[in-house]
Amino acid sequence: MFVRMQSKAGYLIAAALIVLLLLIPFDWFLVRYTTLMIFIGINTMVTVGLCLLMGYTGQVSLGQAAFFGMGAYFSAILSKSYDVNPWLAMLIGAIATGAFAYVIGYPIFRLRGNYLAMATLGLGIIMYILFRQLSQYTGGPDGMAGIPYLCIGGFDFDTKFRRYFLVWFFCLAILLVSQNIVRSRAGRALRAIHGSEAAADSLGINVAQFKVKIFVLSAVYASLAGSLFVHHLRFVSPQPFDFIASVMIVVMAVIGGLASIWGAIFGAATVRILSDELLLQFGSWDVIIYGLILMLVMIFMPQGLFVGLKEAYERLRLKYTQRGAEP
Amino acid sequence: MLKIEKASVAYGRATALRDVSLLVNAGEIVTLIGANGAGKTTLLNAVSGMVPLKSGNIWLNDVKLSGHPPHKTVRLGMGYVPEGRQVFGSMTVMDNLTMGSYTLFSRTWFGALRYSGWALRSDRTRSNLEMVFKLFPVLKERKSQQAGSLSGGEQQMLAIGRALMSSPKILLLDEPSLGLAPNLVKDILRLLARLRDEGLTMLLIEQDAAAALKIADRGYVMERGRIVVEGSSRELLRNDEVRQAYLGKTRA
Repeated sequence: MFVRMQSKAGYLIAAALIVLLLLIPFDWFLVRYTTLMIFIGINTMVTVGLCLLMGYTGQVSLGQAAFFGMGAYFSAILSKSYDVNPWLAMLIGAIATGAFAYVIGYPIFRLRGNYLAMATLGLGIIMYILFRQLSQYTGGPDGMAGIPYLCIGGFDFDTKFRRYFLVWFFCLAILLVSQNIVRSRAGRALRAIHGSEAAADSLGINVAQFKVKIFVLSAVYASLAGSLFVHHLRFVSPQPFDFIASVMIVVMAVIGGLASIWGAIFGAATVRILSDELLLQFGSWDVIIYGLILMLVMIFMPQGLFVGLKEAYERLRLKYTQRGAEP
Repeated sequence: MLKIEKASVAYGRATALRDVSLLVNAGEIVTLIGANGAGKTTLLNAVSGMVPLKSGNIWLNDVKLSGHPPHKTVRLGMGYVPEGRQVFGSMTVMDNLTMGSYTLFSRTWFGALRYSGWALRSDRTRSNLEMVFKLFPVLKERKSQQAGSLSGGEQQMLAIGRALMSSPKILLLDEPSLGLAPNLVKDILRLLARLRDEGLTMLLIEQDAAAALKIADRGYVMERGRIVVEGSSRELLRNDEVRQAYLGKTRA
């Protein structure tokens, strides 16, 4: 089932979300959650890419953190060590990451299912090792600090408040573009590939090319998110781009709902809130709780929180309207 | 219209087709019969481009098809109804049909971003859609239903309708009767005959040789990767070997 914001309720929810998003960074509203929301926005961008790839096209990737990290390191190295304008660095990072995904996409997507998962997993691990070992550029495991802020004509994004809007501007733009893709002819082609590659082929869809294109798109999303990530923290180290990071992106996508664009926000938010706020007290036991949540979601809401909650709401409404209709 | 010249296909070291030549004229139904593993599906896959040819040529109206991948052959005028229907179960009937006319839209990157509503505003898509709904009224009734919830026969109709949405010059059908009740098989075949009368050219693979020969104009019999008998349907229905091997009738 594919979510479409057609109903009035859909628009209302969207409006409420936007109002909430606008209010959060103000200190008098939810005092200390600006940073959390910035991370949610950044994670959402990566997750949306994976939703397009995994939920719509049906291609597993366990290496999205590699692209996230590539964007981050491109931005960090170019803007700090080579004094490139941060925006230009971000653009170069996105293009280079996309090109990289394009080049490895063709061989990688000759694989299917488990083998594809293994290949992307390998990709993620290789990139992580490169981030650590190329220490003359990346600063090695210690990372590098002092990355400049982004700025537009003298307007520095040097406060959390400002960066919040910057991140969510990018995040919403990506969500809108993705939603458009999903509803378009290309989106139907993606779902067709998911449904049956043979049939998609027989209708004139260039299956191999489409898989690579969407892989490139997801890589570019991740790269942009990575750039915003380092310009927010002003520090980069390999640790946020390790294997666990890739897994967390998958967890976010699954919890939010693989085949729903807007579910990505819910997925990213749930995981971020859990990891940053609720599960800190459990220390390293938190992994067990993630596992539990993932299991519960897969069992009770296999289409993710977004669709799951929507269906629960529909059921409730049906129940009440039926009760009302009875004499 | 479709001309296959000495096509050979091999899967690794196993040869699946040996020098198969076949001709489909415009406006006729040609059926390909043979036992399991005779190479019928391989031949169809070779025509659609899913399997590369080892040698030989395939022509569609003087355009060379062989060597093109499937997504190109569709643009060249091939309609393909794959074995086992392969409808997109999680998409609605309407979306399945719109997918069928995928090749009729613009191919630009920008075009890829346009809303699907555009698809239905195109004249050709709309007239194709009307034609499909006229052929299969049941699909119109169920257009917003998920394709996976249709019955086997309805799914087969949907698969055929979907292939027709691309305005093909020739339709390739791989066992449209697979897993259908005998009554439905008759319905589907009758419908194919009707499509032929309206001018569509078809290459039909069938296990049910008797039923297929009843509606086909000509037929080819395949055995172990070769064409062993060919002729008009009437000849084949009278041919003793064919009768014995495929029609289940003993010598009269």
